[in-house]
Amino acid sequence: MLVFASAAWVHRAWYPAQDVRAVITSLHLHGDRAVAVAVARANTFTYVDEGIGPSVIHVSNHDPRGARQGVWVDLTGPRTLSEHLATKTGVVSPPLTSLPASVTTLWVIGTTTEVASPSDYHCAPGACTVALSSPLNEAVLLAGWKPTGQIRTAPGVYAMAYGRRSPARGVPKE
Amino acid sequence: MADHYDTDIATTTLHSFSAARERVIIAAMVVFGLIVRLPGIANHGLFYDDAWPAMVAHVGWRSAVAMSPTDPGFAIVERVWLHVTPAGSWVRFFLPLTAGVFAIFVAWWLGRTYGFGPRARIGLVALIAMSPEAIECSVRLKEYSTDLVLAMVILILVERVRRFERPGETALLAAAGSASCLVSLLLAPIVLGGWTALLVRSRGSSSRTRPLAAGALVTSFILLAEGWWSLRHTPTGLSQQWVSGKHLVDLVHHANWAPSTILLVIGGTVHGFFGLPMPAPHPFPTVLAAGSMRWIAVEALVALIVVGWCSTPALRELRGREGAPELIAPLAGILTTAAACCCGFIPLGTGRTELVLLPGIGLLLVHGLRRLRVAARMADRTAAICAI
Repeated sequence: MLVFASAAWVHRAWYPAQDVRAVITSLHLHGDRAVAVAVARANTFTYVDEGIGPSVIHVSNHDPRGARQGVWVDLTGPRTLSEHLATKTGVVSPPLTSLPASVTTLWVIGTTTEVASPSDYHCAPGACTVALSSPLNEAVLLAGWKPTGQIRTAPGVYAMAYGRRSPARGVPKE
Repeated sequence: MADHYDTDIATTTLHSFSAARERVIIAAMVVFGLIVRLPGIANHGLFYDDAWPAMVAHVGWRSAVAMSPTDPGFAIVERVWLHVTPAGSWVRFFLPLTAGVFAIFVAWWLGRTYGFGPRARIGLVALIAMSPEAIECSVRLKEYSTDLVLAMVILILVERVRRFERPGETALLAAAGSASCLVSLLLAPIVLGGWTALLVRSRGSSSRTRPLAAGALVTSFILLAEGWWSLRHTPTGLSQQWVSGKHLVDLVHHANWAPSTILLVIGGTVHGFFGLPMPAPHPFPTVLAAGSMRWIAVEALVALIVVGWCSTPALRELRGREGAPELIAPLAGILTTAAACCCGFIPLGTGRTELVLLPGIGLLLVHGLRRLRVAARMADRTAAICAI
């Protein structure tokens, strides 16, 4: 009984929080037209649930974008992109090429290993802060963006800044 | 009809265990269960695996049900709950937490219904209060802590049908079993296992079999309809994800993965229920470290031997010899769930889905401990020291 109680204490409940609101607030966007945000799929649902910005929720079991849960999200705020599961048109909606040339900074909002499933893996405080790379990070690099080294963090999430490789090519004028 | 129970262990000992002492210990277990669950209550945003089911609160009723093919009933309850509670607030976790703590009380009721003595009841309550997986699921928005409660309620109803053989009890089991499966299809194997056990026990007596067969038929019809609907609405990628994660057996396309999948399912279950180590490299937990499979294989072998030994009274009863008839239903539930995993229907060893098995395994284990105690002719004091 003592061993079991000790095990229960070691495995006492915790919550792998994803504080998307906190990390976006830390960016101080204030409608800056030179800054865009791309939210990794693992954060899009929290973004919608917290009502951080406008969105459209799609429910379909046959669309590849909803392949696992049957649900995916499009974030419809200005200069706000969302990642979804891969389709022929890529993993980002709207496409990264739709960002006007005036956008010079792109913040990718991803998750850390702390919130990786299975959720019963309890990291020690401060551990598991490694940024999880998703297909979104790769798509951003392929679209001609490069990391600037600026990073913001909040529980379970990170924001990583990317700048355009100069000169920007193939982007629509505003 | 007379009870089939063995003489209660409490009455075979010199010093009876007072009801007051039992109440105090159970209350302490409930408080401990609450204390180890409370740290999981948070004011932060939902993590991914809670956030996507929470989308039911942001879409219409039909979409909410369509995106919850395995737990439509729970999705409806959750939709209402999320509507009345603020996003990003700890209040949202009150629902799973309540179910998680309530499960501790229901465990006591389960032990009582199965004829366990005070010590065995305390053992069962301790298992539900302290199991790491039950603790964790008490602070997740998904349906798993509710599943745990309902799995115990179904086992209780099955045992009451077996004991009393009243038409009312049979009708209640049919209604509650069908309703539970509408809440969560994970409970289907427990319900089917219960009916199977009752039908097997009643063979040879048509008057006993007839109402049971009617109840089983009605439940099976509802389950088939729900299963068909669920399969139609389940995203195709979901099963593939569980198969590649080695939580679901796919004998058609990946038969060669079956042995390692079965080991990981058992290893994951033992890890979730008892907190035994599941070796994984830091920091990414879904990739197993080299050599882990040997450790998991040993764990799985020990788990199979223990559960197998604890099941022998039920198997003896099935062979027509005197055993423990009350254990047939929990065992049938476990075997049906395992079969559902092997047939590619229910992923197990995931840290959550197998929680419906915990009450059945608990009943077998606690009964096994009782047998050990009787076989060893253990005195009260020795048993208490061993238990602690």
